Amino acid sequence: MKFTSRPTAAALGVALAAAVLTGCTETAAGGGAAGGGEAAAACDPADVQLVGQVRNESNPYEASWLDGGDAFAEQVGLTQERLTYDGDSTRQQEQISQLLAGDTECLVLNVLPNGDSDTPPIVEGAQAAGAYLVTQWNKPADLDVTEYDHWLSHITYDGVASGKQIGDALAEAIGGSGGIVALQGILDTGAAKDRFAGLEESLAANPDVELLDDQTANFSRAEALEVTKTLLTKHGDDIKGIWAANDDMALGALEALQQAGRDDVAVVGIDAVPDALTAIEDGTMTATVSSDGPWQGGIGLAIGYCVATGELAAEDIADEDRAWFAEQFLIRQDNVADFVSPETSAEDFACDNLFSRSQGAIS
Amino acid sequence: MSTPVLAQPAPDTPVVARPTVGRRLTSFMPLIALVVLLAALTVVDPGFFTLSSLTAAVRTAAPLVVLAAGATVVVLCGGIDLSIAALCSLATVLFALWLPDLGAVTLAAVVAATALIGLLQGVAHVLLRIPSFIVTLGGMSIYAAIALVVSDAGPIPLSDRDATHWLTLYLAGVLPMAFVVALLVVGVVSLVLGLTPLGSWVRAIGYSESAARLAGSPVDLVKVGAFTLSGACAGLAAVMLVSRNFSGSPTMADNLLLPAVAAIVVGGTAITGGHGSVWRSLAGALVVTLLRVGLPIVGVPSAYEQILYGAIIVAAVALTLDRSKLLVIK
Repeated sequence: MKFTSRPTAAALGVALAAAVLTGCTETAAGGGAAGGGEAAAACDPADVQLVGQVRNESNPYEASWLDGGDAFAEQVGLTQERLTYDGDSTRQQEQISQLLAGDTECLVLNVLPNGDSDTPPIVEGAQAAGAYLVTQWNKPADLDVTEYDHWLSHITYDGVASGKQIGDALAEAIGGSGGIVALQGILDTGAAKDRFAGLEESLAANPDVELLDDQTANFSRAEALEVTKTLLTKHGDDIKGIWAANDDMALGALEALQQAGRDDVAVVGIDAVPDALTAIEDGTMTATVSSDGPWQGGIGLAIGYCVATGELAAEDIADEDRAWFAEQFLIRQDNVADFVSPETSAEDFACDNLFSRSQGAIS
Repeated sequence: MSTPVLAQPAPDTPVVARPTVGRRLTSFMPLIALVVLLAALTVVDPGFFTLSSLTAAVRTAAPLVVLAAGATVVVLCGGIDLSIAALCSLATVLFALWLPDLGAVTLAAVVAATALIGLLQGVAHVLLRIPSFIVTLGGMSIYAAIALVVSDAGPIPLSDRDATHWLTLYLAGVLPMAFVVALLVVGVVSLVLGLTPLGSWVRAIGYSESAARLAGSPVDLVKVGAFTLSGACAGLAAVMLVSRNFSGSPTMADNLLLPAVAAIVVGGTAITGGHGSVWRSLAGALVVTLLRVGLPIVGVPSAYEQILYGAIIVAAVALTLDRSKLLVIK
C-alpha cells in the first residue's frame, strides 16, 4: 500500500498542477509541425523522408509494393522506411501518429489504410502536421481529397471492373454453367465490396453460373484454406469454380483443392502475386488481375516527392487526379509471361508523368 | 519431573517491514524498465526523444492504460478478464450508434453499459462458479458477435466529432487529455484500493481465496466489483479510441487484448493474483506502447520487430517480477 499510493499521489499532483497552470490547447507544443495552410517551402531532395506503409510483408503483393517504393527511393538517391502494421487498424494509427510527431516538414507518406474508416484520422493527422500523403485503395466515399492540401492524391482501382473481369474469366473456364463459391475480402473495405459487386454483375451476365456460397476469408491465405475446406465439404462436386477477392485467398483455395485431391476446379483471384502467376503459368489457376504493386509502391512516394521538392505544385494537380482509378491488367495463361517479373520504370515516376495511368476520376 | 516444554514464541521485537534497497529497487523496476527502454530507443534514433514524440506516445498509450488498469484489479483477485478488448470494440460501436440520440450523456451511458456487462460477467463467475477465464472467453466471443451484428459489420462514423473533441486536447500544451484521464483512472483506482479495506481484500483473495473467505472478506462482492470496474474501464477506453479514429468499429480494439495483458505482467503484477498494483500497469502499458510504436519508428525491420517485442516482454517481466512474493508459478 505504501508503494501504491505514493507514486500515484505524485502523478495526481503533477496532473493537477498542470491543470492549474494553464488551460487546454488544440495541438501539442514542441512539435515542428508546419500548419496546414502554409505555403510549402521546397525541400532539399536529400532531406525528403520517404515512408511506405502496408499491412504486412508476408503478403507478396504488399511486399512487392514496398520493393517498388525502394526502387523509387533508390532512383532519387534516398531510402524508404518500410512500415507494416499486421492488418491491425489501431497499430496503424499508432505508427502514423508517432511518425507525425517527428520531423514532418519533408515527410512523404504512401499509405495503404487498413479499412475505409482508418483513412480519416490518417488524413487529418497528416494535414495538421504538414506531411505529404498519398493513400491507396481504401477511402470513405464521402471523404473529399480536394478539401485537403497535404493529402495529395488517392489512388484506387475499379474493383467492380476487376471483380467482373475475373468473374467472366471464371465463367468462361467452367464452360458458362455450374456452381461457384466466392471468397470475400475484409468486408469493411471498399475493395472487397466493389469486387464482389463486380462478381454479381458477372453473374447477372452469365445466368447459368450459380453462386453457391460466399464467405469472407479476410484477404488471408490461411483463412482461405480453412474456409475452402469447409465449403468443399459442404458443396462437394457442385463446386466448379472459386472466385477469390485476392490472390492470397485464391492460393489458399488452391491448397485446399490440392489437399482434397480436386483438380477440376477453376480458381481466379486479383493482385497478380508471384505464386499466382506461377500457378497460372502451369495451368492450376485460371486468371488474375494485376494492379502492379511495385508501381503502386513507387507512385505514391513519387507524387509526394515531386510536391515536397517543389517540382510539382500541389495546387497544380488537377481535381480529377486527386482521387483516381489506375490502370489494371487481366492476366491469363496466354499473357502471363509479360507479368512474371514486373519492374518499375523510372519514367513512370517522372514528375510530369505521374498520372499517366489514370483511368479517370473516382466518381 | 519435567515441565512441559511449550514452544514459546520468542518475544521478538516487532518486525518493522522496512524494505531493503533491493526490495525498493524491485518495486520501482517497472519505472526503471521504462526508462531503460526509452534510453535504448533514443540511442538507436536520437530523434525519438523529443517532446512531441513522447507526447504522441503517451497519447497512444492512454486507451491501453485504462484497459490494463481495470483488468489489473481482476488479475489481482486471481482471475483474468479476456473480454476487455472485445467489450471495448463493442463499446466503440455503441458510442457511435448512441451519440445522435443521447448527445452529451453518451459517454456515461456507454461506460454504464459496459460496467453492467462486466457486472453480469462477475455474477456469472461467482454464482455459477465458472472460472473467470471461461466466463470472459465466452464473453469475448459474444461481444465480438454483437458488435458485428449491431454495426452491420462495418465502421460507424461519428455523427458529431465535438462530442469527443475534449479528449483530443492537450493540457498545458503537452499532456494529451486522454492520457490525463487515464492517469486519473489509475490514480482513483489506486487511492480507493489503498485507502479502503478493498485493497487488502483484493490482495487476500488473490493470494488465497479460501483463506480470505474464512477471514470473512466479502469475496464474491469484491470479485463482482472487480469485473464491473474492468467493464467500465473498457467502455472508457472505447471512448478514447473513438475520439482518435472519428468512428466506431466492431474490431477496433480487438488487437489490444494481448498488449493489455502484457502491460499488466510487464508492470510486475503476478498473473496468479495477489501481488501487484495498478500504477505498475501504467508503467507496463507505457513500456508496451513504446515497443509497439517505437520499434518500427526507429527502423527495426518488421520481422525482427516481433522477435524483439517478444524477447523484451519476457526480459521485462523477468526484471519487474518480485519473486519473493511468488510461491507458486503456473
